[in-house]
Amino acid sequence: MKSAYFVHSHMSLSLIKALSSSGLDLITTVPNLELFSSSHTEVLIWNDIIKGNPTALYALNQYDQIIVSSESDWIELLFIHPKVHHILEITKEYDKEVLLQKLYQKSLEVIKIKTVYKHGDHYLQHAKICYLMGKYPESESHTKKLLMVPNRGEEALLLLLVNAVVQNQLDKALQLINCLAYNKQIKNLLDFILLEKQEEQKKKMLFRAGRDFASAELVR
Amino acid sequence: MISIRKQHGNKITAAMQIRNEADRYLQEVLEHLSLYVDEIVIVDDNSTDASLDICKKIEKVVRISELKENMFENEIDLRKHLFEEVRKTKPDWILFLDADEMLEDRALYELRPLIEQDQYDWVGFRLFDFWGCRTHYRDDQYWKAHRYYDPLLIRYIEGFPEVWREQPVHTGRFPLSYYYGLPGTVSSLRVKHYGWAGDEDERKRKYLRYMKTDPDGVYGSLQQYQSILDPSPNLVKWEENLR
Repeated sequence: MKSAYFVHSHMSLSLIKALSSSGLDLITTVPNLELFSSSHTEVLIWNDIIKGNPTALYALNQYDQIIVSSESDWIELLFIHPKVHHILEITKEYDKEVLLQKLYQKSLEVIKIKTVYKHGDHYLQHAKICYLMGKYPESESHTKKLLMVPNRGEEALLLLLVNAVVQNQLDKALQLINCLAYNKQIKNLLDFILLEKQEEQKKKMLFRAGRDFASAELVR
Repeated sequence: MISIRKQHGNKITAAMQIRNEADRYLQEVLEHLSLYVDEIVIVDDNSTDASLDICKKIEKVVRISELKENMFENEIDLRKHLFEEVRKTKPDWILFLDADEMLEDRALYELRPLIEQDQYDWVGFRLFDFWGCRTHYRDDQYWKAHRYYDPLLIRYIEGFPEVWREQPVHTGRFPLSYYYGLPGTVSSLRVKHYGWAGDEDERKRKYLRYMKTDPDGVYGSLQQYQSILDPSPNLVKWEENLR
């Protein structure tokens, strides 16, 4: 099994050395960290990862298991890549569902006392946790709140699209892709879907498109 | 389903709520609107004057919803109802104007290019508060809407998640998710707002209404409410900006 440890922020050098000597590869967003690692190290850009850049996803897809220790990184990465595990899963302290439930409660408490206007990231993360737990209507409800915050529209619409696709609400998903078609990349995709004459084939393409936006394997 | 953003052939529909506007600007506003929009949708909030008769005589008024009970005190329900009514006419674009608001004349030439494009989904305009007359607008720290762009024109998008600002007053004219969730632009076209252009008694009545609906200034500024009664506000002469 090919495994890697994901490092998104600076860690102590001794820990980095310990990790790399354990045989794990490193995936990191920290520039120059490869200088301190004795194992194979992939340096990626965080925004490329969470926005599903193909090169970044390809790098992640090489691994059977990616381990993270940060809870928020775990949610972000799990949203786009199914083989990401929190270290507490690996050490058998929690399984995935229990850990998600724990984070769900924690983030619910946070958004109760924070406004979406100032703390949109917390709402987005909570919506993603709901999505990962299969609480799709709740995920949609929190995501919609982001549509009342400047500059959060696109990510909110994408998350709604993914929620629609996973629930097999294909007409709704098509409408949402249409909403997002101010984005050139999505406009091209939409044109491609609209060119398709056969309804069944169109649905398949739409479903595939939604999967691509989130993660091919997450949305089954 | 086809792509919702069209570069040509867009229909623009004006959406307006009215209540006892017959003796004010309604006729003039509707006739002016008719010069540059394709259709007009009206929600009449239980008018007791001749407002409805005026609307019915305007050819471009294609839909009138007559409320039998006054919803004026409940701004958000009224705005939502208007949105539902205009939705039924399948608009491509919706221009939200009140019965005392007019775009300047060059809208006749400049509005259409704003909608025949596929890049932006809303357009912001500056709104000038005419004060006690139709020759001067008010400009001070409390009356400065003309320094900002207010989105009054939106592309209607079927299936777009609609989220309203849920509060009794200052709710916005349409679901604000359109504004925050979609790309927009601004226009140099200006909106003349005659809501404060009437006499002192009329302004005092409006002041009392604000104090009744929002006595603690939760949804708006108490200082701004108070400034309505300012006996000598700073007024600036309006210069008509022709093409």
